Amino acid sequence: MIDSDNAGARNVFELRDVEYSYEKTLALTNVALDIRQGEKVAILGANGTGKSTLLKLLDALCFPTKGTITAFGQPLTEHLLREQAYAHAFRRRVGLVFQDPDVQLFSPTVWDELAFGPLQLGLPRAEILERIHGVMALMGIEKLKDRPPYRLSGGEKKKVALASVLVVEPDVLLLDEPTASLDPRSQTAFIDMLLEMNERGTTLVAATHDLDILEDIADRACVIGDDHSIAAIASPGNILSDRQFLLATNLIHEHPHRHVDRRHVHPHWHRPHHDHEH
Amino acid sequence: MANTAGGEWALAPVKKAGRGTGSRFVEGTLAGIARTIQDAVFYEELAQRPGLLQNLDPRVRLVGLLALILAVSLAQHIPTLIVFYLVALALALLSRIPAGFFVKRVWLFMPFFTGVVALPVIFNFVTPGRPVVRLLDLGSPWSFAFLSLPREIALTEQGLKTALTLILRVGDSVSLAVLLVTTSRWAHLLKALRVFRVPQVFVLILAMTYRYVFVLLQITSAMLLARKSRTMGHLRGADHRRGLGASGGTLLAKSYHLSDEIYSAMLSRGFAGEARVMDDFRVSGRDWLWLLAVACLSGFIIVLERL
Repeated sequence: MIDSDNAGARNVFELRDVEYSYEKTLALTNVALDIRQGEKVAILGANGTGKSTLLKLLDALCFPTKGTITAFGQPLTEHLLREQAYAHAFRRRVGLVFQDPDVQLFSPTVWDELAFGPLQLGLPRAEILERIHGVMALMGIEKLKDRPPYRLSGGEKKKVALASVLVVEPDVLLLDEPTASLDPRSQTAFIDMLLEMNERGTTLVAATHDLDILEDIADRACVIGDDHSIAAIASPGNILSDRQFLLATNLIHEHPHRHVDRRHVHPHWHRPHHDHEH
Repeated sequence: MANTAGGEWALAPVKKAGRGTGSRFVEGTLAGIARTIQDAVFYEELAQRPGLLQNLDPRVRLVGLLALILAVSLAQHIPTLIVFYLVALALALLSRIPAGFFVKRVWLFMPFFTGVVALPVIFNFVTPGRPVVRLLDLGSPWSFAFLSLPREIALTEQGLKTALTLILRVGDSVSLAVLLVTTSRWAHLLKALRVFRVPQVFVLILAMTYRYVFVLLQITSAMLLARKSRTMGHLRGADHRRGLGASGGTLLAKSYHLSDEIYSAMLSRGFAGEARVMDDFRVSGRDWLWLLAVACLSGFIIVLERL
């Protein structure tokens, strides 16, 4: 499968022949990908294929061991990130919501958590207060303001983690398994919120293996195979309709079913509510 | 397991399992973790009550209570220390701290620990003075190396007063410290430390340590529960130790991974090695009044007892 829609808006990220290894363990190889301004991209792949690593590379938390990444027209290098002015400008434009909210909620209270990003980026006090107020109202988390993280539920933690990134008002939002640990209602509300942000111009890049939300959160899907390289870049519709491809990339699996008097085999992916007709 | 497919092994009668030391350890640790989290939630709830001390600016509350602790350490007479305790008790009641909890928290165990330290002081061979209770007659003075005992071992009035002063002083100080902890939210208390020019990075590390204690407690609790659910019968001591060692190692590896991820999350939001924090504390008339009251009370009592 080849990306058929390659024209359009300006690229915010361009990855060329990117490879990354954790010491001797290969995490990603031969990655070539463009992410355009204002689009929604899903990074798909089974566990351990390198989805989270790709997000960390895009957020300049680690740097390719081979190949190049260009962000907003400039090569993204460790050297450049050491310049405070550039680092601040980059961090203001790109935000990453981690998969495990406990990683991201390191401040004593929700209010402190929301203030952390804007404070590090040197925003004026009045603007910080205004932004905190705005994002709390947007996410409906005003009542959690003074709570320590250990007194938040899983869904509340996820909301606060997203709010702590949104308060910086990034142009590009990177999300690692955005709907993990959310109940169905929170999941729908969360996706609606992401779509609303995308409508306002935020570029969304979400790493997931949840095929149920794929068509909602992506205009394009980039599938990473078990060999840690890109297996396909295509529209969600194209990806989801290719059963052999989904099986090959370990995004669905087949297993036998017993139905009273007969057994048969058909493909599955894991979802909260799982219905099918025979 | 003769027939696993039919699952008959699962229906077979279970042999009575003994309670090994492992089971007690796991249960004790789980109970301890639950208690710690429960205590933290209780303290958090106390700190949010609309009481006298809770309504003060956290910096002013910290300065005031530390000033009172300083005054207590300078006080020399038993009546003065009793007055300070009554002040602490009144502050607790006005701050809606349950009196039973406040008194027990300090006086249930503290006198024993301080008592052990103060014990030698009450005897005439450490503090000479007027004997109150005669304990033992040795017949003649006795000495060995650096130790020398008088002919008669007795408790002295001066010794008892010194021990009581020490116990009261510790009791008062601990009471005031308990007041500080129970009426301050941890986050505010840490921020208030900036009044004393405590370095920002130190405050940040303290805050994060406290924050992640809970995450590690949850991980530990989940690990121990998983272990308990798969442990049947009595474990040999060596097996138990091996299991605990493996759990400890896993916890260490997890905490290492967690710290790596947290640092990434901080970098991602603009952290560049220098922590910047903001508070919305405001000093009002009520705070100035509190500081004035503390200064007057401490100054008046300390000066008065030295006249």
